[in-house]
Amino acid sequence: MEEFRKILDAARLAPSGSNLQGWKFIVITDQRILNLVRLFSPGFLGNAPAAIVVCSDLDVYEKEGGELGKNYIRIADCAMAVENMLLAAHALGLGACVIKSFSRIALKEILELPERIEPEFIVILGHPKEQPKAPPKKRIEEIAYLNRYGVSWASEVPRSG
Amino acid sequence: MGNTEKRSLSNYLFELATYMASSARGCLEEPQSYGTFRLIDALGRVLKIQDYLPEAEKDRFLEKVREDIERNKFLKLTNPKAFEQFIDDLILELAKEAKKRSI
Repeated sequence: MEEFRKILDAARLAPSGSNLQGWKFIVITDQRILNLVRLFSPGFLGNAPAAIVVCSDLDVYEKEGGELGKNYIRIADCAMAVENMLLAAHALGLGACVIKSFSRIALKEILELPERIEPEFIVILGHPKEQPKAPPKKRIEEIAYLNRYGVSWASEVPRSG
Repeated sequence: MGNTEKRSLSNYLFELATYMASSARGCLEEPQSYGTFRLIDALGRVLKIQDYLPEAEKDRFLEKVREDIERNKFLKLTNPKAFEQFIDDLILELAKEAKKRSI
């Protein structure tokens, strides 16, 4: 459980729009509940022995965050918490994967979520048996520009000396 | 569905139903290519029903199809072009096999 505490600690320290922190985390270690979650989560591949479901409190984001909070900050907050969780898991030597492909209706039923608590992401966790091949990533030059959109990053990088 | 232990056929079919229904809902919102992956993954899971047949009744060709799917389905994540080629190759194999069979 110490590993979960560290991962949750990393999550709670994530940036939060307007510092609303309207996130909720459900740690799942009960294998029966985990299996039920897996059944309704097509994105849940493999046999990870634990998961943390990251939820948002709609009341917090709608009442205190306005339209921006409801439509954007809610998701951004949870996503930033998830990134911290992934990094913490990696630092602990764990394998982790974030899942968005799941049935929210089924998850709400299985986890007995209150009406205003919305499941946003599942982070599955375990000790990896192997190092998976990394997916292809775009080069910096394909996605980053200098000062103005479209201006090559590499061509205008100031040279030192 | 990810566990390897064998459960009853009715439980397996139930789990298949949860997967396919959840996937169908996901296809309304998820990237189009996810639907392709889910269908191929579902095909592999459907073909796994053969595990419940007596050995003599198993279709060896379909067993090989399932093995190919298990081996190649994650190309979707790492090499989309190769995944596309895998599906084309699979369909071609199915077409060749269909011509041999009295269907």
